[in-house]
Amino acid sequence: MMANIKILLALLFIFVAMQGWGQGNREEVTSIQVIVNVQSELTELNRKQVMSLFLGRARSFPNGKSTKAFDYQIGSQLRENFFEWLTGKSISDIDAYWARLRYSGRTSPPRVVSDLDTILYIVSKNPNAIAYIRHQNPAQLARQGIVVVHTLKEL
Amino acid sequence: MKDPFIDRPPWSAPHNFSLYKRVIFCLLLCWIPVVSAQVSFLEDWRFTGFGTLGYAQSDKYSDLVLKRNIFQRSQTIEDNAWLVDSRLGLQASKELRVHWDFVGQIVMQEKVDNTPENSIEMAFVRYQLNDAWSFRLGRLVNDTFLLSDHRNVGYSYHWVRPPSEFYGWIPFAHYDGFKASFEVGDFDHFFRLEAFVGKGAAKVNIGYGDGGTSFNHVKANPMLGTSVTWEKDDLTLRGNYARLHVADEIAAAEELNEFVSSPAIQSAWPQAQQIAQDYGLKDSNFTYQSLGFRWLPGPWVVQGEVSDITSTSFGTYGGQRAYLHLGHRFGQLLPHITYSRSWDGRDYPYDPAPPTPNTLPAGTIEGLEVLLVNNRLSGVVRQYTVSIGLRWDFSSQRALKLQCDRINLHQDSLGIYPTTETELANRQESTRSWCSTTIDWIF
Repeated sequence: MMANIKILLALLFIFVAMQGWGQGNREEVTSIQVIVNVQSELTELNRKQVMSLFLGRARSFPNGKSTKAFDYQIGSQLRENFFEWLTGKSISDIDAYWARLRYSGRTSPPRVVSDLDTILYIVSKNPNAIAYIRHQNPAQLARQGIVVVHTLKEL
Repeated sequence: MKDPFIDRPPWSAPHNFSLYKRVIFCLLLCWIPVVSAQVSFLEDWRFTGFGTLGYAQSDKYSDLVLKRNIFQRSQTIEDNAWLVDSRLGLQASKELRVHWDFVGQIVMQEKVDNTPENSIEMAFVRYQLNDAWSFRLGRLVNDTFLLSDHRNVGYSYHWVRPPSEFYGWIPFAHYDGFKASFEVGDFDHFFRLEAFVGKGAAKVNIGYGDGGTSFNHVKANPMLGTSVTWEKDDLTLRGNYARLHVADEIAAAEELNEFVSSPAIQSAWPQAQQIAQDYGLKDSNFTYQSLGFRWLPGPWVVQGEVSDITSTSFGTYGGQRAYLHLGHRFGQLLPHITYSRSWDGRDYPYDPAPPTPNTLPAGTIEGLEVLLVNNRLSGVVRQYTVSIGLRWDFSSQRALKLQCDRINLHQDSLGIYPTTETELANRQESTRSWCSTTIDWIF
């Protein structure tokens, strides 16, 4: 049995080494803004509404317009903070939640976008888009046709 | 006399899986970065997957058969320690055009029928009519219980393996058919109503034998059912009703019927043929009814299910099942405990067999009765299990799980943990325990 345990531990070590202990991009985040296109005609969303939209439980804005959420890469610190502050759950619980939905064939998680500039471009061009960003100047966002509809801070 | 239902070859002849094991481990450990890599010419497709590398150990019972479900072969924990929980799943999806998408999933794991065709868990086209209505056609995953449709995805739940009382006895993992879904959600509630119809086929292994007539090929046509799911905040409730009709007789029952229909047996024990027919699966109906909930208040995890399974065949399983699961997250760690139980109140309703007449070899009728009773008991699940476990999310989308199970098998009950004992009748109550560990990941 001891030999088997040693093999298991060795495999575990290799596995962890291969994948990296956690992943990069560990920048400090103090505030997160949820943003939409100005043509969505939204001015504000509450926490429950944001949660429903990003967890795939609702597919339309409260005004009835259809919506599409965008997300960041797995391992992103911003993504981790966003879902933990929004739901009060561990990011592992959120990933397990999406695993349940994805691998049962029900639905897919939000489309992943690699960086802030791309997120801002998508939201500025798409009236249905909803995304989140690290805190920015709302006036600057408004000039790009983007509205902040909710702000999250650390719980 | 050969037992056509519970054929027990000498268990000292384990199968050699060394090459198979090597292939599985290579796939598990080496493929991940390859599959995760972006492949430019397949950019419109989404390729994702999941995997589990598992190991189970029991020092006390070297002859213990451990398996996740009846799809797996009856192999001892010694021979099957690395394979019982290890698996690799690959999924491909593509938006074909507006309103249309495709999802395909293949899962490689230890099981009786390991053909590529049977390893395809999903391959369907979906038409999304609008936000509420969608229709799927093709191979669909069977979602009889709360975890049924993602039970291969270890990362998505906390156990090493979901309670065997529930998830060990679902004969069909998938079916070929049609499903309609209606979903509606506002920001307070989410509601889903689904209905499906299709047909399924599976090869299962019940009993201690590992081969021959211990492998039963079961076909269901039609399978149909409906489910309703309601979610509010941290609470999910789900009710399910499913019914399946077994289309063909299994080979073992055909053998038995042939044996008891001989004039010598009929004259010696007239009731034998009726008993054999009652055990048969052809044209029998199974009904599954279940209620489940998942409640996730803050760091707590509370989940439970109850179900009732009825069957018109006497020779297979039935009864009630229930489990309750409680966990609490402390950062990356989630300890949990589960109590699950299975009841089967059906009694053996037949008169004792008469003594063997002089016209037959001595012991023929007595042997036949033992065979029938053994077959009956191989499908009886009267047991409870207490499981304690720990999940450690040590890295993004990767979890290490440890779990120890202690199971109490009631008198005349074996469940999916058969032993080398040849006589099942009057088998005494017993306990067994084992521990398991897995690394689960998604990519």
